[in-house]
Amino acid sequence: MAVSIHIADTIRSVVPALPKQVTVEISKEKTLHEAALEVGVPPVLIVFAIVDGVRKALDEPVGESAQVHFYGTMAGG
Amino acid sequence: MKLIAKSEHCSGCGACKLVCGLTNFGQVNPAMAALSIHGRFPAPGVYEIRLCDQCGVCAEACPVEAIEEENGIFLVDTDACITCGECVDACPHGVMFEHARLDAPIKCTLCKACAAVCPRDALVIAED
Amino acid sequence: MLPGYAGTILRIDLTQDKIAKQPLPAEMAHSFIGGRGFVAKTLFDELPPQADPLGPENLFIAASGPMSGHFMPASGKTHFGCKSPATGGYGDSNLGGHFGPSLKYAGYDMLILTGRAPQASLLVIEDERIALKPAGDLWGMGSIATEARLKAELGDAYQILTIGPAGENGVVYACITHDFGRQAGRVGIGAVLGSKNIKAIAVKGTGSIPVADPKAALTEGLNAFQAIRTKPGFTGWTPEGTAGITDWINRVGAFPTRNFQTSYWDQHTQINGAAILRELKITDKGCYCCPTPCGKYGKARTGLGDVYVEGPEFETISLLGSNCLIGEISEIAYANYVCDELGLDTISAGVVCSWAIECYEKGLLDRETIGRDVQFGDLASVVHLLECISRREGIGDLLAHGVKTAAQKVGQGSEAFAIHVKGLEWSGYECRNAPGMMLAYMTSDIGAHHARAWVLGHDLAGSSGSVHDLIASKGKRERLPKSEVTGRAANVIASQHLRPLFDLLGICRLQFMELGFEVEHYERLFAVITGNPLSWDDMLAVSEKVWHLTRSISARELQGFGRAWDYPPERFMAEPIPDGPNEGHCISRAEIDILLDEYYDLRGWDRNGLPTAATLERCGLKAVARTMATWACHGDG
Repeated sequence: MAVSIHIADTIRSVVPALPKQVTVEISKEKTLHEAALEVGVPPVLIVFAIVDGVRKALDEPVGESAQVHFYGTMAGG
Repeated sequence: MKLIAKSEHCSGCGACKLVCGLTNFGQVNPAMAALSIHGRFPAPGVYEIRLCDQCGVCAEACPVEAIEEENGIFLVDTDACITCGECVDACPHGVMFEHARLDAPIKCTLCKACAAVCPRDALVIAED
Repeated sequence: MLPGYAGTILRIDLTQDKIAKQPLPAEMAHSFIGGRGFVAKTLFDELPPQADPLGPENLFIAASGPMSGHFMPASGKTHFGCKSPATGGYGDSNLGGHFGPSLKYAGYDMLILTGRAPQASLLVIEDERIALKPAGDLWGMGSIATEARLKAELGDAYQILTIGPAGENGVVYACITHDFGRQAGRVGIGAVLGSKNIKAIAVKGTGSIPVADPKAALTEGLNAFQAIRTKPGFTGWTPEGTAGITDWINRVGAFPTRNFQTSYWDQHTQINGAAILRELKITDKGCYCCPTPCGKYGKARTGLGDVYVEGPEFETISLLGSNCLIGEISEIAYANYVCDELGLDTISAGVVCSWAIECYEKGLLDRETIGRDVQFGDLASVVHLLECISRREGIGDLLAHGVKTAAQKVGQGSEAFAIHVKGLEWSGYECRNAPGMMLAYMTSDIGAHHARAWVLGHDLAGSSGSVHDLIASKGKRERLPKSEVTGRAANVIASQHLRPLFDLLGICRLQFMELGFEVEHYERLFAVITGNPLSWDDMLAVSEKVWHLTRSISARELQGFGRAWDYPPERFMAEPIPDGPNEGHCISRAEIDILLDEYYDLRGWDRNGLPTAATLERCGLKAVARTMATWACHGDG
């Protein structure tokens, strides 16, 4: 299935070569972590994923989701 | 059409008050707002929104009939107002306000700006 | 009239009870923007050199920025400044909430307090009316209790700053509290207010702030509030706020644990953002005009009692939590409440407590000195220390000076694990394998604080391609490769200009940093509010200027100031991390020197870390260069 993956500026500022958005074919059993590797995002930089508006852990499956956003961070406090 | 408060969603940011004054008076001044937010801290730790429900008690209280209804919205005729403060005292929700720089009291015009800006959907417009 | 600004500086000489209202100079607004810029400019111009930080000659400054109080997301920041009693150098700290906007509605961009009130006092500002009232009955009360009482007495419309017993008693990491849980925590700003005999400041403002184009300000403001709702982080980041990064910080081995002995703790899931939502939260609590409230107000139930408290946010989780091995979120929240009420910065207090407990474990402080047994993981131990510190009783009198001075007095090697830079305790990120972040802490102008620059992501990305596989299998603690030390300075410097820019503008940075809210919104809003179409790069240039200025202030105030002030504690250079993803890593003194040399060179400072006259002049600080020359403390070259 086609999944639209969005990569936040907080990650792109660290790895500038990454696109802002990319659509990939990926099976729904794959985890978000695997999806990240698929599009070249170092999972270590992902603080959280937001899948169709809901925060998800990286070991959760991509499932039927259409929009995946990977967020980095610029600090906690 | 009605403005409804869902206080349990409110985080007390006050953007509603600021946009109210800016929309109705062109001023960056939350003291010119026609609604109020009250934080109940340190306990029980909740916010309470008070707003106008267009009940019309203000119009009944006005001795010079300077508050009139148009399509369910009570509006102050600032030219007719004698600044007596009767409406402010009469308002059952405490949401008519006086301001030193204004001749007439501040009252909700149901302009919907507060609902448009509230990031928490604590203020919503319900159509009849 | 200066659109965007209230237009007036309020000066109060507390000794003489003399009030002066001065028009805000247009030149100052244009050259230093506001907030932190105003603080630095005022301290440089007006602080008597070599002043005692807790003497009447020190300044207490509260400054908003041109965007504070305006109709745009998160316009609620207030910046505070003083000569820091923690470091003896330049000091500033900021808080959110509603104070700065109210001060502007009352008519003032900046409040400057000098001297010392003859008795414990409450400062009340209601538009043009200013009154200093006796407050002897409030002295000794907790910060939150004081605010609750003043709200009841003065009314809901007042925005109030208070100090607790720690501020009254000159604890060098005493904070200011506002809005039942927002703090200007750092550099001992609360002790400076206490030294002036001011228990609280209450402000009510009913005026308007002039704006260049009110119609466009309304339109752009509405656009901004709408635009921020479209960010996925709006629903994804907001619920947990800053605590939401706890798991990740641990996963990358940057979680200060056991007085920074290690950087990984497997109990992190008990004290993360989800734990706050599960066990504490009553309501989200937003600062002024904030669409993404990170404040989580709740109730903590512990063996020591039940308390209402805002937080803990990430820094508190880190320093009072993992760093003291407190592994229950309700217990961290309780310690957070104790700090708030006593008026202690949770960051510094956490580091001081963990240092004292380690000293006790190592036999450097005994039971009699401390007043009881203390141990990691024990809430009662931490609360005991906090109470002693705030009243300067027993061991508290030593610890009230901060971890640097306390370690100098205790000696016996305890300096090696006193975790600070310049005398300011380290905040929530361990960085023995994050050289960029280490450099950020080393060169932060107020001491070891994360808010000036944050480059942990760059450190991770720069370590090696193998990071891709780091967390391939959950639960396994695989080791991160050692991060490259060279080439770190540029990102640190860029971050040191970017993050403090928000402190000049008087707004929160989190919408930009965490949600990706675009620079274009800030540029457009700045233009319609002030009528001055500065580009983002123009503003960054001012931020750079302020950076050189704050460094110059510390150079003037601290004898022999320079490179030696920029080194991290010995622990980070001598003790490899014992476990977790960064197991085995530490950073050598030679590597620290590489970081510093690259940084100073790029900054245009000499190798002793002092701005050269040429650099100061390039940034529009000619007068500063001249003054520094007379103090013989500017850099060579």
